Amino acid sequence: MAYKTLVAASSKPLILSLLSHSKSYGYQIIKNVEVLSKGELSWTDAMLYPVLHRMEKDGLIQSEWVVLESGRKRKYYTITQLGREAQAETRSAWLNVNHALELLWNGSPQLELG
Amino acid sequence: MSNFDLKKAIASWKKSLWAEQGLEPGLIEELEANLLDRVDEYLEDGLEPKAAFEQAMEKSMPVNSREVANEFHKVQGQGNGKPPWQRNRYIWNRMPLHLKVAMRNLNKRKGYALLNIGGLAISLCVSVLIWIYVQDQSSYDQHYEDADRIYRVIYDVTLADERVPQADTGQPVGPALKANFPEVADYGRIRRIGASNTLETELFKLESTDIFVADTTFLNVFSVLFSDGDRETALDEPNTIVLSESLALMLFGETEVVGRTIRYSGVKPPMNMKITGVFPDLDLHTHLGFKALVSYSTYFEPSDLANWMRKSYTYIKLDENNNIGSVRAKIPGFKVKYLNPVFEPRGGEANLIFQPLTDIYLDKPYHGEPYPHGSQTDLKILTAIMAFLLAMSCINYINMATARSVDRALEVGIKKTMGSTRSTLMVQFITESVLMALFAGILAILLSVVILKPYGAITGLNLSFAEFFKANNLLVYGFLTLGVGLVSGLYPAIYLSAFKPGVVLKGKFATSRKGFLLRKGLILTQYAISCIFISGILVVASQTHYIKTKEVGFAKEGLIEVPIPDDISLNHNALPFMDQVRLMPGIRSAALGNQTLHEYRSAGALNLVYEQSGAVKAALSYVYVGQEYIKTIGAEIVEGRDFDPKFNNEYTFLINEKAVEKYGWDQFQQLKWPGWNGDENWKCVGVVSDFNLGESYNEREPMILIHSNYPNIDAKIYIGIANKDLTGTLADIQVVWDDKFPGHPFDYKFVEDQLKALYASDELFLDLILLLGVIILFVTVIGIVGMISFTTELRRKEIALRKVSGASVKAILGLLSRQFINLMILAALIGVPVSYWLSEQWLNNFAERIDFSYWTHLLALPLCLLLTALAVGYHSVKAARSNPVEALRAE
Repeated sequence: MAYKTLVAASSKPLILSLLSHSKSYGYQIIKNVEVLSKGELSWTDAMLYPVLHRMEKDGLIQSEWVVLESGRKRKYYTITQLGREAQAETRSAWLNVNHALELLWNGSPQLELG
Repeated sequence: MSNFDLKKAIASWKKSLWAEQGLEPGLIEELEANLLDRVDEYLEDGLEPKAAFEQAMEKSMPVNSREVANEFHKVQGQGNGKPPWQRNRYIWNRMPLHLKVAMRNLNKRKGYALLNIGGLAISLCVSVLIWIYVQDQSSYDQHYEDADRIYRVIYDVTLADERVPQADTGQPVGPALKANFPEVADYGRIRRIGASNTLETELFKLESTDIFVADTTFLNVFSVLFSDGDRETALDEPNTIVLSESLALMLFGETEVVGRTIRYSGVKPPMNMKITGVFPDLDLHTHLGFKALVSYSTYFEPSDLANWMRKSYTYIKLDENNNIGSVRAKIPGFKVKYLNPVFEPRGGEANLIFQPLTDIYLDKPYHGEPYPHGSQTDLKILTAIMAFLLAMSCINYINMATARSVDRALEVGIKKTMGSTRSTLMVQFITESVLMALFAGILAILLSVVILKPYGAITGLNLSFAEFFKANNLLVYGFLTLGVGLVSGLYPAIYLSAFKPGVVLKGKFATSRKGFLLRKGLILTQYAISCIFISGILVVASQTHYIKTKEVGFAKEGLIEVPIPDDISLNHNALPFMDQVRLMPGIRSAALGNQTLHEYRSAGALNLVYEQSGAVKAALSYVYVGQEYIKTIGAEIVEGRDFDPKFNNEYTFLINEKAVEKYGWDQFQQLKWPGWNGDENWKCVGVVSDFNLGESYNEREPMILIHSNYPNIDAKIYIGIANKDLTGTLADIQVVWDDKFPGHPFDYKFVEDQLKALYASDELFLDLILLLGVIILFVTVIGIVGMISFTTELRRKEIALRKVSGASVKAILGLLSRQFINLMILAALIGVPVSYWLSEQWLNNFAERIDFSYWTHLLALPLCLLLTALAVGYHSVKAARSNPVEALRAE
């Protein structure tokens, strides 16, 4: 359960970070996340699309339909300015958490004890 | 080689998504694009199309499409509640919304809502009160155990060609029925004794008319439980008496009185009686409200019990099969065996009728009933009124709701366009009517509480609040409220929900001719009902006035009746008392009589001899009266003379004009009577004018007045006072009374008061009808006020145009009122024949009745006109006086 919550909480920063590199579409996002997490995070469409739509509704990302050469259509998502600002915010928050955990597990933390 | 068609599989998958209410087309397209990307990749990896599709499906949509739709609903943040496809579709779940809309609509049209609620509340309140009264009247004698197996035996006697069914039968009838018919499990006989009986203890002395003699088997038939004493043997011995608890309390101050003695006097010489039982006071709902039972052997000699002409009320109780049909089938044989030998020598015949116990109170009274009866006809009329009232209120609602159709058409159009179904709209309209009815129901209960006391005063129903609020009555309230709400809401719901949005939204809607005709029809019905009621009230009022003021044939004003004291040692003083009274100023005269003037007396058969035509068996009411009786009561001697003290009146009698007319005895001197035993020589000395015994609406019977100047215990002294100073004269008479009957109260009654008491039930009915009539009219007026307000609103523009074109206020008033007046005249044409027929039915209950008169029926018309004028007037004047510019500018 705790892991599930973590996955859910991380979905937004992951999507924003991916899109900050380049525009992308649903399946590509799923594939990239899978690769980046070494197969640990395997998102389904049922999980991804509601999140994408919510973020689009919030103005963090925007979408457009692109017709491919094969005639198939694909919906691409790009990050907005608001999205970049949000990404910066979430980045520092995640880094802070990461730093604290890193120190606790591998470093020599200066802790007030007793 | 697999024959899997990938395109078809994807198309079919897509189709399944289309069926999902929460998935929009764009989203499905996006999901499809994603699926195709996955499938492509798996194909590139070398998977077969089928496996590629299945794997892609598994990865892409591990959950069903409904869950995806749910997720999207959450994301889109539409509504905080459940998504529409998850909401419950039952009516109850939509009720809060319907109620909200209904409240808004009521609030928007406050006046309209108030009129409807007010009218409906009055109707509901009155209907429930009528229902309670009808229930009360219909519940007589049902509390007795096995009431459905108990029957009263009616003696259907015909003597001298006159059929007189009597409530009481000869003594041997009961025992003979039990002996001959195995179906008869038991019988019981009971007889009311005397007009007045006195019970006396050291503590108290009281007079009661509710003392009966009952035989030993009476309590086998009637389940009167005892609170003290042994009910099996209580009536076995002579000189024993059983008392009700209230009587015991009055006489002894306590109820444990079994074994004690009481002094009785009345129809028998004073005697001591032993109390053998006490029973709790009887339920008031009984046709036989005795307060004390004296044992049969105290009153009847053994020889009486074999006499088929000595009568008592006889009841039989059938065995568990309760087969009264089988008993009835055997009565012809019983008649031949037992009744014919008794009645044929007397020139008559008798039959037996079995009357179910629970029907007695509301059946037409037979001759010699112990107590007054209720009237089934009155109850039917009241129930009809209740139905009419509710119908009127429903009509009002339907009228006003459909009249508002222009108002509601647009609403219906928009709602239908937005996806409302017809059934949803119908539920909404019915919710509105039910809500209105619920408000009315609550108001009706409050109203009932307010008028419960006055209503009780009119009807004699002494309902406490606790009795009124018992579950049964509240259930009726609930049932009527819901019923009226549903019934009155149904038609408007069907009518209003049928509007076509395409038509109404283009503004092409106009009130349909069908709806218009319906409303006219409904108003016509209301007018007709009102007309019938007004006529009904006038007929009942006229008849009641007629019977109250009708000449009874004697001077009832100032005529008093005083029973001779039951003290045998003083009885002989009655004659000197009367002599002295006759000499007093302002006294017409004083006389003895054995028959009270306010009680009907049935005819008996007398063998008379008329010189011209010989012996004749005549059916005559007979009374024993003393000297100067005719003068005393203020009747007239038409021929011959009164029982004048100047003459010898021994063996003389008088007959009345009715007897002369019926039997053709023009020469009264030729009429003789050999007495009951046939060996005496009585002579007729005159003819007296007809007068009534009992209710003035009874037919005046042929009568014989037999002279008897002996002051026996049954006799009463009548004194006719012609003096205006009644109080002074009575005080003077009292002085003489005290001298002649020391220690006995001068307990006189005015005959006029006794007669008035007879009309109490007719007056009660009149009061009720009057009250209900006023309410029905009120409800009708409410309906008309509602209708006219809508009509004027609809015709605002027309009125404005007419005014601009020069129409006067008068002309506009005429225009608006015309349709109502036409309707009313039509209603009167329908109502008058109906009211005529109904009032004839009611009036046929009276032997003496008012004649049909057009005015009572046609008077309803101007009265209705007046009410309509008042209802129409206000709105019409308002519309006619309004500024036409405002109405025209509204477009």
